Amino acid sequence: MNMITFKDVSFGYRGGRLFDRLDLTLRRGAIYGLLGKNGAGKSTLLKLTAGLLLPKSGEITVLERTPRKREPNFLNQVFFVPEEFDLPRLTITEYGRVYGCFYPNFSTEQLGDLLRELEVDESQRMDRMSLGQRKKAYIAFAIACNTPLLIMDEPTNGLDIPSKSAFRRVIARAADAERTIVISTHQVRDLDSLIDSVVVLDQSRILLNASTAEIVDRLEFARLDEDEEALYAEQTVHGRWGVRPNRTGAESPLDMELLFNAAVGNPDAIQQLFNAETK
Amino acid sequence: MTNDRFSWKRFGLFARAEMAGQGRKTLFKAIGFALTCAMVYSLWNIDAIFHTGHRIFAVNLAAARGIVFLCFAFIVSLNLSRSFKRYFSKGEAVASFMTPVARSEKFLYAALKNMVVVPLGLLTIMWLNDLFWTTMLGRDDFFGMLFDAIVKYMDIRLALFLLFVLLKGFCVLAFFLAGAVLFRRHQYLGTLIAFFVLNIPFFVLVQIEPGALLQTELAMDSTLGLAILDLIVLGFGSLFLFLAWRRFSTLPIPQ
Repeated sequence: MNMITFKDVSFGYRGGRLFDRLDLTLRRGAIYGLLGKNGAGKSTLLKLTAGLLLPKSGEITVLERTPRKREPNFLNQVFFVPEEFDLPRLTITEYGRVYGCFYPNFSTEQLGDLLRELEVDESQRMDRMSLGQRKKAYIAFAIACNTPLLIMDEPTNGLDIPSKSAFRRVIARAADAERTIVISTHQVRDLDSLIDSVVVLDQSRILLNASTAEIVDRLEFARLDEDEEALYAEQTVHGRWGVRPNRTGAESPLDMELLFNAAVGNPDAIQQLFNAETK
Repeated sequence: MTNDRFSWKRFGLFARAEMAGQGRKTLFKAIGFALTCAMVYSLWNIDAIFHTGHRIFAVNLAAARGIVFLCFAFIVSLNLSRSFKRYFSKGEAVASFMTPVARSEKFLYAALKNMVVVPLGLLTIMWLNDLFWTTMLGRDDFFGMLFDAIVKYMDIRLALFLLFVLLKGFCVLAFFLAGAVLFRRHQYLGTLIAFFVLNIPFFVLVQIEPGALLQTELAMDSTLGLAILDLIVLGFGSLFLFLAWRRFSTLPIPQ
């Protein structure tokens, strides 16, 4: 079942057109990694999904509702964690008490557990927290709201290495068959082993929209010989690594960075392989 | 709270959430305004306080009232211009837009808080300050006397005139509220400039046709004229409020 559907969506900021007749479908119960370069339109896509921006034309359906209407019963099913945010002069526990009531599945106990796991001081006021602490506190609140759609824009920015690991753990635990999590990032390594579907956005086009199972089924990530052809290859200290069509059917570990570079550098070949939306 | 339209219960919860953590800040602001009022009254009444006998008390009090009223007008209009500040702020906009509350509830909260609660709160402080100083200086309670006079001479025309004054106030407040959401940045300055520009035709009209002003004054002499003026001002106020609502209901997040 689909969670998010974009149909012929066009959108642009003043004077320009960012998306032109964009089609996109994201299914229910998956963790999506939305990858793209800076300025590719990742945040705009997320804001259109949440109803924060209004499309010029076309139709967006999220949870069988129209986001642009910003109805309370839509908003209480969606949580958006932006890249940068300010929080009020409250502790996260107080914040949970006054804002949690708007979300029907909010759990105070779960919030407490998540805060402990993410090592956030519950007694500290959020406006006095460091960026990383504030982000972890807000992510904990977002997960505890138990909304069917959780959108996160660059959630790992500002997190230290142990926090990134803790973030991956809590997200993996929060995922279930009814919940879709969309994580936008340009730090692709942060999403390794976390996501189960990938959307690559480049120059306002969807280059790839596939599950990780489909990707490893159709692509092979391997160490290559010097003259071996590939969709994308790069020289590392451990030799030449690259991505090529999977002709043997053998499963190789997905390398997000190689996949992203292959999709951006060789969009036609990738689209042919996946038969993805080409608009 | 399954209703997608207006819910008083949800409105109450939203108001509670918005006010959470603001108590100390609000108290400091109220104390700041009270101290400003007290300072203006004391500076303009030094002669009266120290009994030098060189100045007339009533004039000093009237001047202090005028200055405090100007402060009040500035604070209320500036505060109104910041009614939707959170929706334009990069750090707060997403959370503000995404709070699961109907647009009408968010709008009503901003309008009630900044058009009614804040002005009434400041007026109460002003009145208490005036009462304190008139008592201390041994003068008559000006606002009490004004109220008594209104009650004494109340008739339909006076009621309509008072309504006219109130509606004019509402109209100006609604104008500033509209400016707060129509202008993406520099809302206060933008509203002041718009106010000036929109008043230019009236200035020109009065210069070209001074009779127009006289006709307005004559209209205020009759009950029907006053009632019509009340309706016109109410119409303008409602229009500004409607414009504010229209813009707010389709407001996109800043880029």
